[in-house]
Amino acid sequence: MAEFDRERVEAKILETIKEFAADPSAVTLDATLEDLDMGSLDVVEIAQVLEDEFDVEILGQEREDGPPPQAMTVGDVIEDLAKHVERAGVLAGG
Amino acid sequence: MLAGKKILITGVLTRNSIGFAVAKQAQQYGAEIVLTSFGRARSLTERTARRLDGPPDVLELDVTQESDFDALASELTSRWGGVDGVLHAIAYAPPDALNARFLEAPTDSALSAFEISAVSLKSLGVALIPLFEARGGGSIVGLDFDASHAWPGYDWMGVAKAGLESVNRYLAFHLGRYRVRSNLIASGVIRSEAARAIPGFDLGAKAWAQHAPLGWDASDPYPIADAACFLLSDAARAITGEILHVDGGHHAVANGLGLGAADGASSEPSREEPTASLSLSGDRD
Repeated sequence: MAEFDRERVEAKILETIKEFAADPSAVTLDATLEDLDMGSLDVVEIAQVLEDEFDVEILGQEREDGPPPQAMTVGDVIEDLAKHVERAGVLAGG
Repeated sequence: MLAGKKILITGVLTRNSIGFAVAKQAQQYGAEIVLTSFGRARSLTERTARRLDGPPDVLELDVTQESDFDALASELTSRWGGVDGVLHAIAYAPPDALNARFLEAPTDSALSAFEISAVSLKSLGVALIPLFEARGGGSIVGLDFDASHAWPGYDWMGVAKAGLESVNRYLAFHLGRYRVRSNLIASGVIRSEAARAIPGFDLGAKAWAQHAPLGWDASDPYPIADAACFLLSDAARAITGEILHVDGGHHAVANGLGLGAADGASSEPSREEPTASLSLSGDRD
């Protein structure tokens, strides 16, 4: 992957969350996945979208214990996944 | 090994799924494959399928819907005329039946785990009988996790796997007359997204790597996939009702001793620890 562009990665995550949410207008940084009727499968699929978009491997990376996916806010998901994309780029030497 | 075989593969969610590894290896060995998925998981399965040759089509199968089995069988009939093998990689237990909630788990949750994870092996096998017959026989392979022990955190999923082991034997018994074989692979722990739903998984993966005589890499499902392809192939034509352990030999040794114990060493054996993954759950939620 090219140099890590946090802004672009975060924008892509937000865009994908809006795409997957039943009601895109309800997507705010403070909304939890449960509020949006989303769950762990959505997060896994967003991770796959990022893998395809940025040519990195995220699934399979180590992850600290955190709240269950449903309790994560949109902001949490963006931060968490962006961190994984960044780390994947570092691991790949990109 | 599988040249010309038509094989149905369930349970592909991400490229970390055991089902994905089986799909990839089956293609490698010459099989033509189709996948199944359902509901919310479907778009994920389709996205993952694009990483396979073809990519293979994804057919609908919710094992709690009887009509889905009929639709699946008729779709496969018009597509292939018959089927040579199927991978059953379907398991689910509601969260309140896992994570040390064994004693409190509602009966409905225990039954749900049993229906989806064990009875579905029978349903799938029965739905495919005419398709297997059209090819002169067939092979069913299911994914198991050694149910002869109680595992921390696994709870009613473990009970469902015990059920699956028995369903496998009865299926072998009743389907032999159709020249259909049924076998399970009891694998070591694999860090798939589904496994992330099992609390204490990382601890288990680490212990597995230390105790298995051959060691164990929880991030590599390909040894399981190769064994599944063997069971799907004609090389396994006289094997049915079997549970093949693909676990680095973990089942054969007493737990808790580790390699160091045999050498009189007190330190833990130095094995590279597999990397952990995103902590996400569920083949089905």
